Amino acid sequence: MFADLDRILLVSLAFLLLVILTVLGATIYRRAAALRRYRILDRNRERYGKRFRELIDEGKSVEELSAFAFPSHSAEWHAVEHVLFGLLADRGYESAGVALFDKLGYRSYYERKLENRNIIVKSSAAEKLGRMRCEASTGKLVPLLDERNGEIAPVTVRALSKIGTREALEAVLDRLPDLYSRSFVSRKSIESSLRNFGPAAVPDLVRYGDQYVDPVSRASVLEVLGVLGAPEALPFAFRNLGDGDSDVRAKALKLIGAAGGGLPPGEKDKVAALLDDPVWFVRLQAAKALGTLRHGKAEPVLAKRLMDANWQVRNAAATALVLTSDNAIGIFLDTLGASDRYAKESVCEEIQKTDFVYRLIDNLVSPGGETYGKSREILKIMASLGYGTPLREYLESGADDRVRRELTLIVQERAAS
Amino acid sequence: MRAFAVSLVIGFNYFILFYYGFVNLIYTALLLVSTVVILRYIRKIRYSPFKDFITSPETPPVSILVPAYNEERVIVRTVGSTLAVNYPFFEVVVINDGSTDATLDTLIRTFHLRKVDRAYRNVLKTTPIRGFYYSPDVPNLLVVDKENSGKADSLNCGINVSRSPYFCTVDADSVLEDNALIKLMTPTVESPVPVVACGGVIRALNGIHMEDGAVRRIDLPRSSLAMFQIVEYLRAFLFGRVGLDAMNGILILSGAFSLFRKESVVEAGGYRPKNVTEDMELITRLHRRAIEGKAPYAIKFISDPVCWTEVPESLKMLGRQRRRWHLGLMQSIVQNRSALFNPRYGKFGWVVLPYYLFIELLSPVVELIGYVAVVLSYLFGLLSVEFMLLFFALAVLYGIFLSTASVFLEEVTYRRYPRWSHLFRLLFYGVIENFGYRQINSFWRCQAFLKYLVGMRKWEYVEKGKNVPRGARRS
Repeated sequence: MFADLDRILLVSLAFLLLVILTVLGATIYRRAAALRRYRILDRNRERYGKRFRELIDEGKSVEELSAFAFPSHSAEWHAVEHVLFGLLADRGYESAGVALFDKLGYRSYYERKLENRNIIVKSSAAEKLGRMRCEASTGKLVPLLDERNGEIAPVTVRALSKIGTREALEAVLDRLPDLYSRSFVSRKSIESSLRNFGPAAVPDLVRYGDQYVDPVSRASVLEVLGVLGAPEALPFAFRNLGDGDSDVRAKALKLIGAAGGGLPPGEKDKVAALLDDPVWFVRLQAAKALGTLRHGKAEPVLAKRLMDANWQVRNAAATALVLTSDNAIGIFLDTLGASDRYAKESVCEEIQKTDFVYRLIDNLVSPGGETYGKSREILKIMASLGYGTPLREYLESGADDRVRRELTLIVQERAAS
Repeated sequence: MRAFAVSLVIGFNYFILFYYGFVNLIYTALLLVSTVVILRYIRKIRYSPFKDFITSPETPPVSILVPAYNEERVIVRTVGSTLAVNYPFFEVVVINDGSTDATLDTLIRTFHLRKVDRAYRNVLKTTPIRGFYYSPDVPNLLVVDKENSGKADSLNCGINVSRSPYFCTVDADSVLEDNALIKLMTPTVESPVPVVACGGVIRALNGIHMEDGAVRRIDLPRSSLAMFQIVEYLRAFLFGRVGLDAMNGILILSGAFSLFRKESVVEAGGYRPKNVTEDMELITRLHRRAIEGKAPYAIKFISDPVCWTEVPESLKMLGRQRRRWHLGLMQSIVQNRSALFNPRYGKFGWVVLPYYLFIELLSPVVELIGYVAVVLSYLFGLLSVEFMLLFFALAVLYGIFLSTASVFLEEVTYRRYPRWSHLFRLLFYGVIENFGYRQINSFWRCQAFLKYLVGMRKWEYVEKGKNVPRGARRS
């Protein structure tokens, strides 16, 4: 029995040894091959990089540069491709780069690759065509959006967004609900790509957004419009403020906050009304929007939100009040007098974060008066809640002796109590 | 009596033979799967949108949490490297876990921090906070000073403080590559299935040349112990984890560099301070909760983003580290034993947990008992010396095969070690690690097993490195 086992082991050992030697050899060969390949690529890149720029500067036409069309996959072909991508990044050579990709056969090569059955080859080709900004390839790329594969869809959307034509945008927007419903692509991925189309895409985004029945697509479009900060999309945002989907409402508010600087007060009231929304992130976006819209009439509702159950909403409301209200001191004092510790801490934190605390300290310069009294009271409460660092800092290095005296008194009163 | 002992030894010999064959079969399968997956991934990187995401406002904000205990020597370097990452919106939260050295003072002095007041929401219960430190010059850096309570509690504190939907944990003796975070986030953002956790690759910082908190030149350390670990890390990260990731079966993401969805972690109750490997326990719990909630989810491992971290250069410290890792594995499996072979948990209960139990946890014990059985078999005359030597040679050769295959995978993929001398040294250490280093590792893991059985389950402090990396000395 041992003899048989010995033989089996010997054969296994020999096989394993052979495999190890093969792996060792392959590793060394791979290193040598890679070094050689990159050496040649670097040399060609340097050579053609200079040459292309010189010829374009000399005013040679794209046709005259067709001598640089090398067989695909040759070292020269790869080097020229690198060089052309380099030209795209350089404004002066950008259009020549795009034209050369077409003329030297790169576009047709990668378009052929789109028909490959291997999804990686196909995705890689789609990405290249996008980076080459081949407008003529739009028609070839669009059908990829309909493929039942989760890998190709985001790459194609991104490629189309880099090409950036209206045809490409419409192709994506036409299929947006379908892409989301099939869960082939994440929202963040699509939104990042849609942003690449830039401000020119706003009218189409609004038109499609109005047509979408599904809330995910509408919210996505609103999000992109918010990032683009498009004032012409504001009517679309207002139409969606009453939507049944909380995400749509929140994104509409985000867009209004980003682009609604010059809105009339009546419109701002609609935003303020959403501070009472049952969903916390809608309230959060409403508070943030009101911070940028500077709507004085929203003061009472923002003050109410200082006691919100959610800390993000409380903080956003406090920030909005600092930015908006002339009466922020009074409102903060009311809240700090309440019993809710979390609300009080949120207010203290925002007073510090927004540097409002320094306005309060400055108010101590002239004793007497309502503002002085309220500021003093707020600072005292802040110190008692453990938010006294700015006071201590001023005591150490502040410029005004009167203020320092006041602050010393506040600290002493706090210690005594 | 002798007859019984002989039968026992024979039975055990057969068990060892089958166990060895089974384990190697699994490893070979993992290697094959990993090779396919990693080669596909390498081709996919070419069209990865991570560069677009660096400037995209749609990229989710991340809080980088750096728990630190007595790290005055390296903390500035680590914070510098995290602040230098290419990422659109991030904050760095350093949690000083009651250090007794000058960690906090070093940070205050270097980054001109001043004490600020901040609301602290103790959502995940932690030990009290002593203070917050901030500087308007570095607005995305916050230092939290708290009473000492261990890494898990510090991370919970960081989660409480963080204001982003995702957080990334980074060890205080680690250095992130500038694109590491965005490369980790890209698959998370792109995934149509919610990714609750995602881990990157850890590589040994020892021997690396640094400048201004960034890796400038990659070199290999002189220390043999560090070299063994480099090969070991290649094996673990390039084929072990990649293979398990292919079936969403990752249980170990290194706490030195992992990204988490905050909401999922808070819902799960955060880190558990009683576990010695809090990262593994958390991942296991995240798996279980997602499966119990019947929600689609993914826990990913990405083989590209790199975090460089110091590895121990003394046997004593390495032993402590390995014992702790194995103890943690044991704790996690024991705590989740109800999921083992439980149909409710699907492949997690039927494949993933059994893999970690029978292959990762028990293999060192079987190996050690195997050595005893071989000696006994020889004494009982059950084993020929020839057979014994052949079997041992096979075991060693298989180990060499796995190590060299890992170096090969590194060569066809990332090729981080650029010089010919690096390649030959890696291959050399891939061969010789099978003579002694692997066995001593098994010994430490067996020690952990025994420690667990006798109730010694405490964290052993590990001082990593031996010398400060070359660039760090300059700074």
